[in-house]
This record gives sequence, structure tokens and C-alpha cells, in this order.
Amino acid sequence: MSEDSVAKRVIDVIARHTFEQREIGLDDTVEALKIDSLAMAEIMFDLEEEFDIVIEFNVNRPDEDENFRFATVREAVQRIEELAAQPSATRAAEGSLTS
Amino acid sequence: MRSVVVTGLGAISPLGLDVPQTWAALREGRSGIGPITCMSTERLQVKIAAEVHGFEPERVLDPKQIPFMDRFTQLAVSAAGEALLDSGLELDRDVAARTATILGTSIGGQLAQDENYQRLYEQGARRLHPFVVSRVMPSASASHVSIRYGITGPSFCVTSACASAGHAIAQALAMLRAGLIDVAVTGGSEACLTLGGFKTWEALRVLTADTCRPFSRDRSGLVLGEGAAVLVLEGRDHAHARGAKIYAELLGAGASADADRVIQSSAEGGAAAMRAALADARVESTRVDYVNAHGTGTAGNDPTETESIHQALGPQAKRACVSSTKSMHGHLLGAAGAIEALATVLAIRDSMIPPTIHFTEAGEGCDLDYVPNQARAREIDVALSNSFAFGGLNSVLAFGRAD
Repeated sequence: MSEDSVAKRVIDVIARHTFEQREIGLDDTVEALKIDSLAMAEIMFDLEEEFDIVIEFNVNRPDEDENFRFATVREAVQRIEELAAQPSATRAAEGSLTS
Repeated sequence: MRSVVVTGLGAISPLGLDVPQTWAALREGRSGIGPITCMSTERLQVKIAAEVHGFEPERVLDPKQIPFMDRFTQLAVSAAGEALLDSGLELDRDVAARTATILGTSIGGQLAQDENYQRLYEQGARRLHPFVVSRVMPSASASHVSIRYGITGPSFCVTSACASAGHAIAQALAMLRAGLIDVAVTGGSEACLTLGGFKTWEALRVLTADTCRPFSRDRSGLVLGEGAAVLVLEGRDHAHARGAKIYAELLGAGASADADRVIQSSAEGGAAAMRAALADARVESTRVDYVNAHGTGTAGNDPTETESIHQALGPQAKRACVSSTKSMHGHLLGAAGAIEALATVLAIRDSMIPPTIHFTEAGEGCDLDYVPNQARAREIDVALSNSFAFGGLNSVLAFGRAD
């Protein structure tokens, strides 16, 4: 998959959970898009489903290193690309978690 | 107003199969949390829970009735049996008609539902067992307690997520005071450890893979548990007339709705329920020596509940002991308010406050005496038991000494 398509798919997911009507860019921040914790939980779920990946996130430990975090849309795209690039064997095993 | 007292206790919990085992573990600060054994963990990200181990329904229940029962009902019937035996109550025809069964559950027959839907959707079964409806219905626990023990007074279940048992006990109190009944078999049960149930909680991303550490800085979420606890409540007049032993008095109950957010509780809502319980009990906040906290161990609950306790108790908040027994028995959802009421009652009887175990250092916004890791001897005048549910439904019970 090309980088553009990942970015577009991530933006499409985020767009579903923000009330901002304008076009979303890679440099938009979570704050600017007014994404609260509940919207974030839904975004992570949609990203897991969209890319068939497992996103580590415990809402009780928002600052933990292993937790999925992003400040900008660009960071989200990068993290998703990393997760999607993981060996398929690992993903196949973990992938069943989300199915 | 009619005084209402606790005359019997029953429990089946992750800490033991009866009240003596459960209370011993609570006093000793033993954890009932461990690796999940009741199902395959292959598809789970979090692999710990507080399970009831060693429960053999066929040893305590009528074999003919078992096919009608989901595990949440089996646990309730067993705990109710212990409570009734403990109370010494004889359920003759007249007493039985003046006795209510009011139990809490958050989910009802989830094991039966999971198993049968799996059979239908996944395995393509053509038909389901004829008793699935009676196993799944959330009121089945009250039905089967009434059937097993011949209780013919008002019987039903109450559901308000994690406050279900608190609201059930409060309802029993109101009916006893109003003179509608003389005895209530009340509390709650939950058996939510199914793949389907567990995954719904995983999806919320609030479960910990570590352990339950309420009020600690390094807490990382809640641990799901299962079990049942039942209290026999009685008008004091009725208890005295038959010479019953009395554990404690149920002084009052308070409830409120946050009317705010679904998942995050509000300090004001919790405080309102605590104040309502104290007002209903007609006691000053200065008499509160112990608060059995909702204390889930999540980022959201613990500082918010601490703030609620400050708001409701004022300066007494710092003088009272506050502990979360969920650190030991996990979160029993619709039965949480019942096992925690039981812990509160026994704390009063024995002047011994069960601890908050797995405690390391206090988290931000958590500045009360959480009775870390070891039980504390302390005479208790009045104790509160908090249950704050998702959806913002709050229940608080106020207990006092038997005399």
C-alpha cells in the first residue's frame, strides 16, 4: 500500500470522529480537531479494524510508552505504518484479537 | 421509623466459597486475582480475573433445577442458602409471604447467552436448548432463590450496572421500613467471565494486565470478578421477636444520578449519594469511621471518588479510613455492592477494617487514609459502602453497630 493511501485512510477514520467540518491535514493536532478521550477510543477501534492491527492502549496509563499516542495526524499515520509493517505472522496471531 | 438490621450473611467469592473464607481473606489482605482458567485466553489481551474457584453447583443445588440456571443464578442461590441458614430464619408460610427476594445483577445470564449464540451464529445450530430463556433472563436469580427456599413475598432483580446490588439492598430497606415486608433476602450476583463479556470490557481499555491497585500512583485499571453475596435484612422488631443474632444495622441508603457522562463519574454525583445516605440514616458525617470505596483502580474513578468523599464528609474525610476491597475480590459488577456491603458489615462487627492491597504510593488526587495493605483494628460507629456505576448511577449504603 502507498503512503498516501495510508494517510488518506487514517484521515478518513479521524474525520468520522471530529466535529470539524473542514478538510483535515497531516499537521492538524488532536487539540485542534477537538478529539476527546471517548472519540480517541473510537478512533483506535476504527484504525484497528481498518488496518487489521492491534493498538496497545490502556486509558488508565495514558502516558506509558507502550501506549499508542499521537499529537498530530502525521504522527498517527507514522505509527499506523509501523504497526502495519510488523511481520505478518505476529499480526496474524494478534489479529485474531480484534476479530 | 422501623429499624432494619442484618441477621444473615452468605457469600461465594473469588476469596472463598462461604463467608468465613471470604472474610478471612479480606482480613488477611489476600488477593483472589489470578490467571484466567475458566476459558481459553488465546483471544484475550488481558489474561487475569478474580474467579470463583471450586464451586460445584451439583453439591449445593437441586440437580433438577440446575438445567434452568446460568452460573449467576447458581451463585446467588448458593449464597442465599448460606445467608438464610446463618440467619436461623424459619420460612413458614406466613413468614415466607412477608419475605422479599431483591437481588442485583448487571448482565444476567451471560454464560448461557454467549454459549448459545456461539452455537447458533458460529456453529450454525438449528435449535437451542429449551431452557435458554430461563437461564438468560436477568431476573432468574431472584426467581430461583424464591423457588429454592419457598419465599413467596415480592421478588425481583434490580439492574444499574456496577451499583445494582447497592440499589437492590436500598430497595429492600425501603420496603422493610414501609412495612410491606418483614424480611428481605438481598444482595447480588454476577458471572461475567465469558469471552464475549470480557472482550466488551477489553474494548473499553480499562482492564489492567498487572493487578488491581486502587488509589495507587501506578494503578492501571480494574480486574473483572465474579461471585455472589447475600444479606438477610429484617425489621429489628421481627429479629428481636425470634431472638435472632444481629450483625449490624442498615441505617440508611442514598442514591443519585450524575446526569453527566456515561463512562466518567462525577464527584458531585457520588457526593450527593453519600450525603443522601447520611441524611437518610440521620447521622452526622463526623460519625463516619469507615468508607468501603467503589475504588475500581481506574484512572478516572479513584481521584474522583476521593473528591466525592471530601465533598460529602468535609474534615471527617481525613479522619475516616477508606479502603477498596476490590483490590482483593476484583470488580463483581452487579454483585460488587453486595460483597462490599458484606465486608462493611463484618468490619463493623469485628472492629477490623479490611485493607486496600497492592498499594504502593498514593496517586495524584488520592490523599485519604486508604488502609494500605494491612487490615486495621478500629471501632466503627458508622460506615458507608459506595457503588458508583457506569452511566452515572450511584448508590451508597450506611451501616451502623448492631446496638
